[in-house]
Amino acid sequence: MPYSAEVSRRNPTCFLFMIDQSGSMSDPCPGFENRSKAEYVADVVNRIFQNLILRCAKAEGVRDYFHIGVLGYGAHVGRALGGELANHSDDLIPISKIAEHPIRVEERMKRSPDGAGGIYEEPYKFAVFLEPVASGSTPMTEAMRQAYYIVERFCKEHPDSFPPVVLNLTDGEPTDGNPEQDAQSIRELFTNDGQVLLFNLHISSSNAKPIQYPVTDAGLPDDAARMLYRMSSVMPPMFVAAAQERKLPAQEGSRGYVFNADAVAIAQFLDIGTRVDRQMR
Amino acid sequence: MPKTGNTKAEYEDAFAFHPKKSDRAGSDGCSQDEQVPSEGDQGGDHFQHCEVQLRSEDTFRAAIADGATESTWAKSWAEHLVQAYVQGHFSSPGEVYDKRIHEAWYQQQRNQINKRPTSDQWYLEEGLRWGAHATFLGVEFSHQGGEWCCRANAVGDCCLFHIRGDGLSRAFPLDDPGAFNSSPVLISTRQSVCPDQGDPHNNPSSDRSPIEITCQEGDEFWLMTDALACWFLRVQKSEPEIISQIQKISNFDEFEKRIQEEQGRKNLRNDDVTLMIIRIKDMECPQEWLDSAAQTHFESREGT
Repeated sequence: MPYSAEVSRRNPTCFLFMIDQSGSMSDPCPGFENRSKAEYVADVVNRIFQNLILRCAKAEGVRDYFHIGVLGYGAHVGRALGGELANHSDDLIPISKIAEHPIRVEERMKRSPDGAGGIYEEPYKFAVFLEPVASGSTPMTEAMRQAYYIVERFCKEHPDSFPPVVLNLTDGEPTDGNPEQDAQSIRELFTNDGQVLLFNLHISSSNAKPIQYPVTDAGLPDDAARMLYRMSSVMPPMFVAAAQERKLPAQEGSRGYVFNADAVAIAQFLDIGTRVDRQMR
Repeated sequence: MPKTGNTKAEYEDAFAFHPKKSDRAGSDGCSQDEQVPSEGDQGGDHFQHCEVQLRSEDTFRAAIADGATESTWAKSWAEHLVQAYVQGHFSSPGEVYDKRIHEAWYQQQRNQINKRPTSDQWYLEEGLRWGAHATFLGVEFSHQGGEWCCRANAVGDCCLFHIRGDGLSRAFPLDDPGAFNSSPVLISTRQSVCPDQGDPHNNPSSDRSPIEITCQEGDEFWLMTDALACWFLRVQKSEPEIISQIQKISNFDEFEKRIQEEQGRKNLRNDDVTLMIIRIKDMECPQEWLDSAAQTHFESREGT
């Protein structure tokens, strides 16, 4: 059965984040008038990194269940992680190395329910690996091409692993041609456990309601939205279940695609796309 | 034993029993095929055999726990729980927070973190803030109203199997292999849900009520962590002889071989495995203990 391989140190899987870093990402993020889309996306990606690290962390150190890469596309296309990770020898970095080299660790405060009807503030560590960037155009086609080679290499080196998951976040249309063919090439890559998964998220510039995990392109408003739908993989059952647990309208046949994502939908998309806990051994 | 592919040090189940010896010289025996683990050194790869004699005023406690894989500090929390239970620091899972069992554990882990390289400390501290989680099963044997009684508490899917004669008399808290899933109820170090972590399923006070079983000579009480318990429940329905097959296992190599065979056939999920067998023997009083109203003889074996 596909998408059932154990995720272990012997058979790690990989997550490749593709981040639109074009100039329009400096626009306000819906729901956060004082923060840009680039700032919000960087924050959410950093939080996901932190969650992935903690899922792999043990008292003796971080176990390399995941290899992770971030590809930015805007003024240029290339690795987007900052600090010492920018100089790592590979595009995909074992998660233990990522854990050791955040750009910085911030002290933040979180307000949480205290379980008795009140709120308490709790300090926590927030590690920063990715800085917000917003400049240039949207060379998504070139980014897809580079992503293909990164993921292809992983599949060759880890033929029995749970297939890589590529998560593309963009707020606009590609400016360097049609990326559909390259996206299809990515989805046709495979390990013995199934084809590579490509999930796409379109970040809204308005407060319009998101369209999440559709099974058809019927409700999508324009050609660009329908193109991203076609570029997206059908979600395997485990990801459908992860979405349904969050009360989202995913079902059998849903594509890993969100159109018009607001702040909440962005965070959910990344959380769902990296939910392979039940495969972890 | 640890899940295939992991080292002994990565075994995240825990087990303990107390007393390990009777307080009467010459009245107990303890042997092991491999090293008996000390507290904090549960390597998860050994087979141990102990005999303990008890008088009516004594109690015997044993516990197993299974640290949740996604917790950074799962192993130490599982070990802390079983040790705290068998030492009598709490008697039911609902007392874990009331008796501040988790606070001592937090202090121990903070001390550990302070000794680590700075580059590791941020995620270890966050792992501590997220908390650790474990399933748990504790049994207490005590003498009540002229009979020895086993009282069992469980949170999650660590299971107790009461073997009487050559059959399974009772399974607790789960008696259906279909009831096992990847989201058991857990005892958490956090009383409230950590907002970053999603759903830790930590609500021990709402889990199953304790059960009590009156002991008879020859009774056996088998404590198993989830993967082994699920396999056992499924197999014993169609192959009741599995009980005698397990009883005949006498050393770690036999135990390991059987587990690996079942894992290889995909009958048993690749997971840490812990089995503790408590056998009730010699319930009559020996002459030298006639001052005691009742006495029994416990034999405990663990394969992990």
